[in-house]
Amino acid sequence: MTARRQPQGGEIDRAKRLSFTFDGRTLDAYEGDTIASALLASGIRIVGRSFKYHRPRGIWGFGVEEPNAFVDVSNVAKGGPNVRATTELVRDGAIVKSVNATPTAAGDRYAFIDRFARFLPAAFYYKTFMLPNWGVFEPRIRNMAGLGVLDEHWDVAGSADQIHHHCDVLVVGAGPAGLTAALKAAEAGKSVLLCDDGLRPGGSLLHRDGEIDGQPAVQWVASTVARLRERGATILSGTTAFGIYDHNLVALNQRHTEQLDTLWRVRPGQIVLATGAIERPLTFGNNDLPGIMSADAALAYLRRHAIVPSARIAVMTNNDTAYEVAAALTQAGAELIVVDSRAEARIGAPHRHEGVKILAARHVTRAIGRNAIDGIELHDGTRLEADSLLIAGGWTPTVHLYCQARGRLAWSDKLLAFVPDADVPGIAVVGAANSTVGLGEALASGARTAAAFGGNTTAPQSTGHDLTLAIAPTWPKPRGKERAWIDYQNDVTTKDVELAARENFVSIEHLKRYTTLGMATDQGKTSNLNGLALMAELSGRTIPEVGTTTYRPPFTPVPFTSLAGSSVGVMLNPLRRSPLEASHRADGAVLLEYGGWLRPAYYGAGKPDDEIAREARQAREGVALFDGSTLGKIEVIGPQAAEFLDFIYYNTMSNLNPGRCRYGFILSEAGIVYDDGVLMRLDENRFIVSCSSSHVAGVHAMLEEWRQDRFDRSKVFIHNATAQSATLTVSGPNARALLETIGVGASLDDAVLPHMAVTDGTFDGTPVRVTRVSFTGDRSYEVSIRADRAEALWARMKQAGEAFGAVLIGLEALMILRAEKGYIVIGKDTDGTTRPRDLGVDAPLAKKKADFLGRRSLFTEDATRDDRRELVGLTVAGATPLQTGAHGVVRDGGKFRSIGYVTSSYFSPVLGKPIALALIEGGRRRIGETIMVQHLRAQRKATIAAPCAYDVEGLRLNA
Amino acid sequence: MLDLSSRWPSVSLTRPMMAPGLDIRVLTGFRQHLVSGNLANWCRLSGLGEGVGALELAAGPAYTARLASDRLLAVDAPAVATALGWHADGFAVTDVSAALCVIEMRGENASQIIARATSLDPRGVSPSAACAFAGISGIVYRHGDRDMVRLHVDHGLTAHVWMWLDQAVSAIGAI
Repeated sequence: MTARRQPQGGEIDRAKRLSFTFDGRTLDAYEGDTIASALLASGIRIVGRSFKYHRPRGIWGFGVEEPNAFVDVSNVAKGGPNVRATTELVRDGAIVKSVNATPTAAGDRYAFIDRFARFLPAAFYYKTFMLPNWGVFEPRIRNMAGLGVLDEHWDVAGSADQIHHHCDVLVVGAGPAGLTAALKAAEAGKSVLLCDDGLRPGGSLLHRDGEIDGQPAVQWVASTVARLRERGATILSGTTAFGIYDHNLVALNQRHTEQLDTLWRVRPGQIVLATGAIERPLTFGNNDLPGIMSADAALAYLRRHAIVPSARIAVMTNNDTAYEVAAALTQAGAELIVVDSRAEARIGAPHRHEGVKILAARHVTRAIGRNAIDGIELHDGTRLEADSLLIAGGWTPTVHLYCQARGRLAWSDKLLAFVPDADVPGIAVVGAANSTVGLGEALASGARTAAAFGGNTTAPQSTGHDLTLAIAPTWPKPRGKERAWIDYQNDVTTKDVELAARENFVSIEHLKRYTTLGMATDQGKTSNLNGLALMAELSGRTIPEVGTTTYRPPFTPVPFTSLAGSSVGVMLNPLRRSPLEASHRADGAVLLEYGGWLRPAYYGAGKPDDEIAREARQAREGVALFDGSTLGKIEVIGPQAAEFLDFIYYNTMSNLNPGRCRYGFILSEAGIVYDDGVLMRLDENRFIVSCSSSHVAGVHAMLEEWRQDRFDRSKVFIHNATAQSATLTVSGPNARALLETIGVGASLDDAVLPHMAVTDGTFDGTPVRVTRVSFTGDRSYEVSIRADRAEALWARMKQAGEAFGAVLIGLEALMILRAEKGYIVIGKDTDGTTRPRDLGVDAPLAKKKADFLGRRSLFTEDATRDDRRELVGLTVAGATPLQTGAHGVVRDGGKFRSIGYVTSSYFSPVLGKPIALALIEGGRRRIGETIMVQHLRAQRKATIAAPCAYDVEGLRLNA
Repeated sequence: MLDLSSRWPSVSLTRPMMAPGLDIRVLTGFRQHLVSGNLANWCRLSGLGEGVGALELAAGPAYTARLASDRLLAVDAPAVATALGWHADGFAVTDVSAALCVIEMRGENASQIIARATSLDPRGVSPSAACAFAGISGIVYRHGDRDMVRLHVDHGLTAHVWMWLDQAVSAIGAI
C-alpha cells in the first residue's frame, strides 16, 4: 500500500493541476507541490538509486536534509542536474529523471551491483585496480560515479543575478525563534534581512502543533511576516545561507523556479542563526528501504501536502517528538504502531493518541522488503507488517554556519547532540539550533537577541501544548548481521565504519575520507552523528572525544551559474576596446584578442595568409598605418622620477635628455626580463613609460609598489594614462612625407626630430605628441592624440595615405615586420627564464652604477652559465617556415635532447623566404652552425643566424 | 583564423539605457585630471575640496573625488590647477579627460545597480571613491542628489561595463 492524498487540506492549490513525467511516466500534481510530494502522492516509492550499490531509495526528508531524492529536471525554463526533489516545486510539463539509474529508478539495470556488495567495502578502490595501473580502470569508474547527468547540449540562458546587501541584522531561519528575533530587531528600528530555505516562512510552525499568544501558530507566522514587511524587512524564502566567510560575510543562494538562482552577499552588523535541527535516522538492518522516512518529514507531508505515507505505518522512536506525528497520522486514518526504545514509564508525551498502539522498550532490528518496506522485525523477534516506517531518532542542531564562523561545540546530554558552546562575536544562535526543544523556549531564545541592540526582549508566549524530548540513547551498534546504513547518500554502512576502525582510521577526519561518510551534497546532515557514535563505540571513546569533522561551506550545493553571476561568455574576461574600433570594423578588420585587447589581426576578406603578406609587403614599399593605441602610457612624475626609473629599468635612464627616448628592459626581482619598451622624457620631472600593451596593468602595479616601498612618496608619482591617448603609428619609407602632408604642427626634420626623439605638435588644434620610435625597422612615427579625437586624425591619415601607397596593417603583419628585424616580443620570444644577457644586452650590467631591480639575480650561478638559451635567428631551405614551438635538438647519449625552441616563425614577403627567432643553448657562439629542428617527430635542418634578417645596417630607420 | 568581431560586438554608447526608475547614459565634455601629492596645496590653488568618497555626494560643476590618501580625481577644475606635470607645490597632474568614461545612473533604482556592481554599503560612505565596479576598477560617487550616481571607468572597458549594465538592468526588471 503506498501513499495517498487526502481529499482536503494542505497548502496545495487543488484548482491548478499540473502534469509532469518521472522516468517517462506521466504524473499529476497540484500547484504548490514539490517534486517529492508529487512523487509520494502518486505512489512512487523508488525515486533514485544509491551512489555505490544502486540500492533502491525513497524519500527520507522534507527539506534540504534530503539525502536520497535527487533528480535531473529538464523541459522547463530552469532545470538542471541533481535537483533536490524536496525543495523543487513541480512545474507543468517538466521532465524529471531519477539519478544513478538506468533506465529508471524502479528498473535499474545496475541493481545487480548490490549483490557484490561484500567485494565493494569502503575504500575498495584503494586496494583493487592496482594492476596494471589505476589509469586502466579510471575512465569506466569515473563514468559510473556521480549522480545526475550533465546535459552536454545545455547552454546557459542569460546569467544569474548577484546582489550585495548590507543590513543591521541578518536572521537565518524563519521558524519560531528566527521570526521572533527578526521582529524584535525590526521593532527596534534595525534593518533586517530574514532568509529561510523553506518555500515560505514558518519553519516547523507550518506543520507542528503550536499556539502562540492565543492564536494558532500558522496565523502567528502570517501576522509576524506582515509586521516584518510593514517595518521594511527583506524576507527571502527558498533561500539557503550556505556559508559564512571572513568578517561575517554571509552568502545566500536564492532559488527561483523560472530563472537562474540569485547569489546574495550579505554583510550584516549582527547575525542570528535560527537554523533549527534535523531529525536523525536510527540504524538497523536494511534501514535504507524505500518507505522508511523521517517522522517529522511525514508530518510535514501530511500537514502541508495532505499526504498520508501509507495505510499501515510503524513509527520507531527514542523520544517524545514522534507522538505528535503518530497522533496526526492516526487521525488521518492510518493504522499506526509506535515502537519506542524507551521504557513505557517514560512515555508521557502530550500527543499520545488513543488509536496509537505503543510497543515500549523495543527497537527495530531489521526492515523487511526487497524494493520497499513491507514489514519490520523487532529485537525480540516480533514481526510486524508495515508499508511505511517513520523514524524519530532525535534531533541534530544545524550548527554548520556557526561552526564555519569558528564556533565551538559542546556535547549536550539533554539532546544527545553537539550544540553551540562559546559565543562568536556578532553571531547569536537561537532556537533548536541552540538546543531548545519546546516552542516556548524557542520563542524566548529568539527574543533574547534583542538585548544586543537594546530592544524589547519580551517573548511571545507559547499558549498551547509544548514539545518535550526525553530522548534515550539509541546509537548504531557494530557487528550487526545485516547491513545498516549510516550515510544514505554515500552508501556508508556500519560495516564500513567498522572496517575503518580496524584499519586504524579512527580520527574522524580520516574516517570521513576513508569511507566518504558525510561527504557530497548532503554533507552528513543526517549521518554524521550516527557515524561519530559508532566510531566512539568501536574505539572505546565517548562521542565528544571523537569530535566532529570541520564544517566548511557550502551548506548545500550552489549552482555554478549562481557563483559565476554575470561572468560568463564574453563577460568572463573583459576585453579592452581601441578608440578606433569602429573604424577598424568599417575597414574590414578581422579582430582577435591580443593581450586583453580586441585588435585587428589583419584587414580584408581574402585568405588570411595572403592579406597578411600583402600588408607586410606594402608596409616596406610605401607606408603602413597601424593602431598602436594599446601601448602603455604610464606617467612617472616628480623630482625623484629619474632616480626611480634608474632603479626600475635595467638600463640607465637618468641621463636621458628631455625630448628623447630610450629603449630598455624592466626585470623582475629574479632578474628575468618582465617587459621592454620605450621610455620618453618629456621634461626634467616627467617621463612616460611606454610598456607592452598586455603588461600595462602589471607594470603599473610594479611601479606603484616600488614607489611606495623604496622611494620618497612625496617626490615621485605614477599615473596610468594609457587610455587618455590613441597612438597612431606611421611607418615606412613614405612615413615622413605622409605626416608632412597632414601637418602635425611639429618639424619632422631629422635634425630636429631624430630617431628616438619626441616632440609636441597639434592636429586641427588638438595637441599631439610625435615620437620617432620604430618596431618595424623602418622610419616610423607614433602620433599620440586624445583618444576621443583620434578618429579624425586616423581618417585624415587614411585619406592622405592613398597618395603614398598607404596600407592598414594589423598585428599579424607587424609581427612579420618586427621579426625580420629581430625585434622581440616579451613573453613570446622570451620565457620565464630569459635574462638580458640571453638577449644580447650585457652593457648595463657591466657599466650601470646605480642599483636596479633584479640586479643581484644576474650574478647567480644559473644566470652566468655559458650554456644559457640565447636569442638567435634561424634560416631554413625552402619556402615553409618552421613551426613555432619546434625544438632544436642534438643527439645526446643515443637520444635527442632539446637545446631550445623556435619562438617566432614567419614567411617574409620582402625577403621571399622563411625567417625565425629562437632561444638556443649558447646560440650566439653557434651562429653559422646547422642544427636539427624537430616538430611532431619530423626533423628539418636549420642554420643558426643573427636575429636580424633584414636591413642589418639599419639604414631604413632614416630612409 | 578566428574572427572575434561578432563575438565581441560593437557597443553603441550614444543611446541611453532606460528602465523603470533608472536612466543610464554616458556623459561627455568633462575635463578630468589625476592629481597626486600634496593635496592640501592643490586644493588651495584650485579652490576645490579634497574629494568625495564612494557614494558620497558631490555637488556643482567642478568637484573632486578622492582615490587614495595622496590622490584625487578633479572634474572641471580650474586651469590654474591643472597644468600638466610636476608642480613646485608638491603635486603632479595628468590629463585623463579622454581616459575615463563618465556614466551617470539616475533614478530610484540606481541603488540596485550599485548593489550588483559593488560591495559598497549604501548607508555609509567610504573615504575613497575608487572601488571595484562590476569587477573592474571604477570611481563611484553620487552627484546632485542621492538617486544620481556617477561612475568613471577606463574608456577601453566602457563597452564591457555597458554590456554588464544592460544585463543588470534586465535582472532588476525581472525582480
